[in-house]
Amino acid sequence: MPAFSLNAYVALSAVLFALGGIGVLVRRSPLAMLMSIELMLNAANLLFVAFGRAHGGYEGQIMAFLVITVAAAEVAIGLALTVLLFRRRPEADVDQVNELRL
Amino acid sequence: MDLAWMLPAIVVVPLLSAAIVGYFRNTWSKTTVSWVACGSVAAAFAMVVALAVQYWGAAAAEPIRSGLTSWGSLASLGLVADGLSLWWALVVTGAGLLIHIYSTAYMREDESYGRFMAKLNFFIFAMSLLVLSDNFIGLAIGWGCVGLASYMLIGFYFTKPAAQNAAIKAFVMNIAGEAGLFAGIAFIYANFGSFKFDEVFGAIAQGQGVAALNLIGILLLIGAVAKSAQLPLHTWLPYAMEGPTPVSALIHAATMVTAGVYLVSRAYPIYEVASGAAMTVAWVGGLGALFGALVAAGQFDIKRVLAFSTLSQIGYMFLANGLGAYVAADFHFFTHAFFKACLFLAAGIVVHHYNGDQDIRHMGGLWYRDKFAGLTFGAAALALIGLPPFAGFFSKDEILLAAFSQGQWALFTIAVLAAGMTAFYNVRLFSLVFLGDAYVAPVRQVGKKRSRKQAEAAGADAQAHAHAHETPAAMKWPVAILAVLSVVSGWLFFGHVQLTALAPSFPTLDLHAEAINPVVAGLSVAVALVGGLISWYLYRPEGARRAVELNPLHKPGILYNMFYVDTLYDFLFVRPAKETAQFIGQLFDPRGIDGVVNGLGALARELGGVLRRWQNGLVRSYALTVFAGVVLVVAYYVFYV
Repeated sequence: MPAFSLNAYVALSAVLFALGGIGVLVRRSPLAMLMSIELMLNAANLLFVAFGRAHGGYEGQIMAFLVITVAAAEVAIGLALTVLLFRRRPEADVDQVNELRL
Repeated sequence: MDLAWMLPAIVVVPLLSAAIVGYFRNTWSKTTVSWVACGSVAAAFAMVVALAVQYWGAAAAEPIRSGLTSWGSLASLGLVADGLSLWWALVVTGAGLLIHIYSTAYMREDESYGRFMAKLNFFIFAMSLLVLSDNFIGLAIGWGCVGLASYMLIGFYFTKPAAQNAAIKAFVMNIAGEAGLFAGIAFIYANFGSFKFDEVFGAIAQGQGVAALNLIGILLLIGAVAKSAQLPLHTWLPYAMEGPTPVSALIHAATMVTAGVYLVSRAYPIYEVASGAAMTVAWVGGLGALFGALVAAGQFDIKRVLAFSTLSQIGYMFLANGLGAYVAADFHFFTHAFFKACLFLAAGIVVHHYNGDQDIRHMGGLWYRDKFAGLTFGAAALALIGLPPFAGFFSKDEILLAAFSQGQWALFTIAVLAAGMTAFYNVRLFSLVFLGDAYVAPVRQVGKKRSRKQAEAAGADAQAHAHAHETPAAMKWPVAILAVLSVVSGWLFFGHVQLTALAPSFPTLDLHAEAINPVVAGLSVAVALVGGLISWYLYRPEGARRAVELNPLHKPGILYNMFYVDTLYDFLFVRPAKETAQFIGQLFDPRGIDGVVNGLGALARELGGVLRRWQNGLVRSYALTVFAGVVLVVAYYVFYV
């Protein structure tokens, strides 16, 4: 397995994070937004693991597992909400869901 | 026998009665109210008499003392019965009792009868506290309470705007005076460290704090002047006549308005040392005596004539006080209380005859219908004029004698002139009310014309109504007693009697009874006779001036307008006060104060309006905000940390 430098992981992670962020900001489908959030979380996971390996410890990997757990919980709730949203409305556009506005 | 317990009882019994009568005023019958109200004052009077017998009966007149409060010594209120306070308390409760009895008949038809009697009782409490206190604090409390009683009773007919205004006027002017009184008391405490008469006057006798005494004397005088309606704070008194007649008799003639005289008499050691303040007292009194007598000659309201007469007579008392003739002042208070109360109560009978009309131009010929009112009114008027042997002669003579023997020629001349004017306005008043033809109200020709028959029927109606006024016995007896007292109280108490009664209260003065000086007495009687005769010539039934003043087109002059003092005060004080109130009420309050409050509210609303645009409910907008925040935090750490 070719060994890449730490900088490469950081750069990849930054690209993934930026892609995810742009996805959250520009997509109007809740499903796509959830996927973008997952992308950002995984960008962070990549960094955790890369730095953990560079340091030679396990903390980074443990943290990555925790993030995966939280992400799973978040997706469970997010998907449930999305399903409900699809049931209530003909199309699911997050811009239409603004009932929380004062 | 120790009668000291009676002192607090004298004060408390009328107060309790006021509270009880005030509480049950609508549940009890008027008869019950009368018995309780008069009974409490009668009890107070009986106790004062008992104390007087004990005090003056003892060989060495030792003041009877009693505490009123049980708290610490500094502000403890005590009561004392010595010559001066008993002398005053006798008149307050005695005249108060007679006027209470008179009121039971005079006010009986009024729907607020119980309220009236309760307030009258409250006044007796306040005035007793004023004259029986042995310290300045108790005196000041009584002073304020009589002012309150005066306010409540002037404004008794509270649905009448004139009565309301008069009550407010009296209260405000008395507050102005009280500011002076309280400042004076504060200076007394600052100088002598005590409120008690004995301690303060003892310190003065040892020559302490002499420098401040003139100032203290003037400050106390301001309070006295306002309460006693002397120049220049006299303008409330004529309007105070809006109150019921018994109130005018008791409060605004016999007792409360003379409280200033009591204050100066009581604080005599101050005025003995402070010659400047004493001369001010004398001049205020002398000018007031002449001013009141002059203005009384130009009034058309029977009670206002008497009000200005009161002003003038209290001026005599101030004159005597200022000249150091305190006994003469207190003696004149004594006789004046009787004859002036008698005049007012007789005037009440007169006013009843005319169904409440107080304009003397609408009277005339009453003598032929009511001899009783004419006799009592005449006797009291003669006492007021000061002809021997009526009461006023003796007391006024002492005052004139004081001015004469001290060589105060200017004051003596003023006082004698005022005596002449006193006779003048009394003869005018008596002639206009009791002599001549009865007034015939002009038949109104405006609008619908009345037929001759209708007019005749109306006239017969009025006649029948006029004859229906039989004066009740409860009104006649007090007037009769007071009339007798106005005749006899002068020579009965003249000379040694009043001196032995009052001298213990003036221990540092060298008092001795003086015989009537033929020069002074002759002069004052002669001037009074001249004034009376001129008045008789002008105002007798066929007199020229009478015809002029009875003419409906007659325009009253400077005397009727009270030398325009009121107009001046209106211009100087009332109007600026009203303008200020208007400014504050219509501009400053809605624009200024409300502006600040409303402005703060508007600011918060505008700010919220800007901020609420941020919270638009769009998920992606929130996400952008979060991102911006993250970027900012990261930028901070990257560039600054």
